[in-house]
Amino acid sequence: MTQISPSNTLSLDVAKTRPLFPLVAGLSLALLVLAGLSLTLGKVEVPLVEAARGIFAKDPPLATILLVEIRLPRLILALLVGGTLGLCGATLQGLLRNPLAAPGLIGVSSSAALGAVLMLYFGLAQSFPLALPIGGIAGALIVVLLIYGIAGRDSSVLTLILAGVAISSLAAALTSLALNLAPSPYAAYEIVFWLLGSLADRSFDHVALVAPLMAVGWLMLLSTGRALDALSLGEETAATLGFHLQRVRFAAIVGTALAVGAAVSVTGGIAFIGLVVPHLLRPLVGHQPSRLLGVSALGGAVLLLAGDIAVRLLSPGLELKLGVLTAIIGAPFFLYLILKTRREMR
Amino acid sequence: MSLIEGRALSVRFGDLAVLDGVDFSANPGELIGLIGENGAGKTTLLRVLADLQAPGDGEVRFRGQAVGGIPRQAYGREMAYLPQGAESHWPLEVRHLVALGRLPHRNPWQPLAKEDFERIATVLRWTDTAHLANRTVTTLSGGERVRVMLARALAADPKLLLADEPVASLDPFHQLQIMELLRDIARQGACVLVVLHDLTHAARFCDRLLLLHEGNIMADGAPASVLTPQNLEKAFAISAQYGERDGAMYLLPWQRLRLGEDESGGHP
Repeated sequence: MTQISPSNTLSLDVAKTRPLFPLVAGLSLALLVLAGLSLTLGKVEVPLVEAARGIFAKDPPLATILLVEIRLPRLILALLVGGTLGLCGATLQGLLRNPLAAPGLIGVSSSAALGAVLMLYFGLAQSFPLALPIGGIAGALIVVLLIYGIAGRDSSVLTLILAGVAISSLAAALTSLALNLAPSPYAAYEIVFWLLGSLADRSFDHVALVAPLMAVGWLMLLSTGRALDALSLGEETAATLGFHLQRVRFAAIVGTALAVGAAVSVTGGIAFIGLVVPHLLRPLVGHQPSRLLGVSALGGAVLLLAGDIAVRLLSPGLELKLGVLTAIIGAPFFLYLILKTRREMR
Repeated sequence: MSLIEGRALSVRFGDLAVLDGVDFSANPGELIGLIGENGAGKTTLLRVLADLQAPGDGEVRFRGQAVGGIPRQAYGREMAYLPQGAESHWPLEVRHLVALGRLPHRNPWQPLAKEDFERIATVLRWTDTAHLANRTVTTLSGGERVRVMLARALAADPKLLLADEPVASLDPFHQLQIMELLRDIARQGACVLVVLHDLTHAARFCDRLLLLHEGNIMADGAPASVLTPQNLEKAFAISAQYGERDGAMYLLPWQRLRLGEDESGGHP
């Protein structure tokens, strides 16, 4: 046996790590370009410089109002929601050690949607504008309580998923019931349209409502990074490396509920971003779960923003819903993932 | 004071007593082989010692302190657990996987420091895996994978290593290599507890053997005093051929002493 005498060349070689910088820089650049596009794109041309100058004017010109009240909140929400979906997907895939996990898995998305749909159904959405997101957030929070109530604090991941599947189905059934009993075709139409998912016509009130919840959720999710790395070796080994798996699960699931619940409650359902983004970026970070978290948030924001710009370009009249576009592109990609995974399993 | 000590450890799964009042203690520098038939409670004992499972009765003490009272991360700096058939769920690079063993030594946001890299480089060399450092773990052969997983366990610089059948699926060359490595680790001052099925490995490499039978310790001592024909008959229902080479004992399981369930009569 060789005696323990660390050689410097070898330690340097071990320390050498694939730098994240080019990936982060590339995604950030894409984000900046898309953000600029998103602000300038629309029926009315808004000269950015002029509009920005008008922000501090006493009597802001129309361009400024358009930019600040309509396009900016839309852009910010796209970044927040896309980032949330990417981050939650990366966290859940790491927690479950499964590349096919998605934020909707634990039932939060469908319950948040149900909460918002109930607001539409009972007509509360007309009485005050934030009723929809508040209903959605309430739905998401109730689900977390339910999951933990059903599954118990010290449950396995499998129990949590099964509870999530059951709750998802129930929420979907109740949403159908609301549609079934809708007082008028117009009410039903309104519900369906909301469910499709969109970023159109959102205001800074929406941003202010969901941003704090997302921030708390993000912090909880980011705190799991090291534990997700350890989980690469399985739950038992992760526990012997010093991690409390109950706490990790709690942070991942409650963090997802807060962040995705808030996201769904302002946008409706936007599918596949949380599934696809971590999967695409994983090879670029050497498959390390902790390094995947931040870049997935960035990637999710880029993809959602690109999608939002695409729907505006594709259909300037009756707007194509963002959720429809992501599903149409996402579903075939999901199928491709399944086929690819199956080949690898063989 | 012994390094780790189990007092009256009992674990029940329903009506089945997997461990039934196990008492034992282990000291630094010892390579201890844990042997016994399938279902004798070897893995359960390791899991209890690793604090992965609380004993229904009795307690585990590490350096005199109840293991349940030691913070997980602090225990992770002292003890490493290598489960049977350890695998990576993601295709990580070897050096990243081995670096996971340093997690107990790091604060939540602290990056890998110089001493971490030095330890990683040392254990890579020690396990003869330095040339694999940049390979993806899923592309390794079985023997390479076991060595990498062992390097991960050693990366924490543990005082106690619990290894569950590390050589079970390896070819003879790599079996000998891992056994020699475990012996060297013990010689460096760590206490190594390893589950083995190969009785010759147990006899040749271990300082001491624990023979588990039906959840109890049937024999505890030097290999020659544990691997007696009487004990083999009682614990494994086999007889063995004994031999000696270079002053070390070997033995070859030769004959079953009771019939299997499917051949215990009933046939015409």
